[in-house]
Amino acid sequence: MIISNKIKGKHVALRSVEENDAEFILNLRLDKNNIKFLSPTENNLEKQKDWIHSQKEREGDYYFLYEDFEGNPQGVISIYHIHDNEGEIGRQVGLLNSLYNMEAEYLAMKFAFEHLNLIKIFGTTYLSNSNIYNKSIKLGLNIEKIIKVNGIDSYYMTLSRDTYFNKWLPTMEKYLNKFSKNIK
Amino acid sequence: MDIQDFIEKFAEAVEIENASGLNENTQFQELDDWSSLGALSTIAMVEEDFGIVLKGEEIRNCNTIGDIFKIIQSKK
Repeated sequence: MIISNKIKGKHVALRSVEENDAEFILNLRLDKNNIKFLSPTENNLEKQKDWIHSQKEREGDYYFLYEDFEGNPQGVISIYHIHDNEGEIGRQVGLLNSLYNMEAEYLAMKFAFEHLNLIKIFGTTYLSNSNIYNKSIKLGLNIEKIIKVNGIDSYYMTLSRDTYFNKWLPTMEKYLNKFSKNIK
Repeated sequence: MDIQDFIEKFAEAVEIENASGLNENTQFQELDDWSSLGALSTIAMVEEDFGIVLKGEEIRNCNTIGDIFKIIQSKK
């Protein structure tokens, strides 16, 4: 599914991924720093374009590219597997700008809870990805269980609508504000 | 500012509950409290207290708290 407008933050804007973003996405997903935490990706540009083409038509699947205000692509993030007012956040991979990556997550989560009005978001991360695990705990996500993702033990985490408004959102805004004032 | 002062500021920025065990050789990315939120907070603290801009990549390439302190010293 695609959105026609951009979702603008203070530093980045989300827009729907297009086929001509395929090379940027493929390079990100195949980067040695990212590949260990992502689902396997075939190094094939045409297949990546085909996948994006089919994703755009898929119900309950939003895939965003985030770019700075000069239009430079910085990363991608997704809200997908949406059904029964629940959805998954994931597919995030970005360049090394921590602020941009975090604001993109912030905007995607706001889209999920405040535009789509979802009641629950879930996500998975490999047990080896302690960074995401620690961040998720600080932001109030609930570790529900351990599941296999791509054959690898992974945390299955959820965030309810209440916890989003009462914990996730204010905590994230605290960090974003603390960081934003220092980079200007 | 010496390394001990920096460790205290680091612990405060990252919100490490038990900072008494930290020293310059602590591998901060192994700490239970460490995440990208901690990286953001560290960058903000260094900018505010030292007037020095650290990049996320520089922190990612550090192993110990002392390594971060050395980068700050080298940029002064």
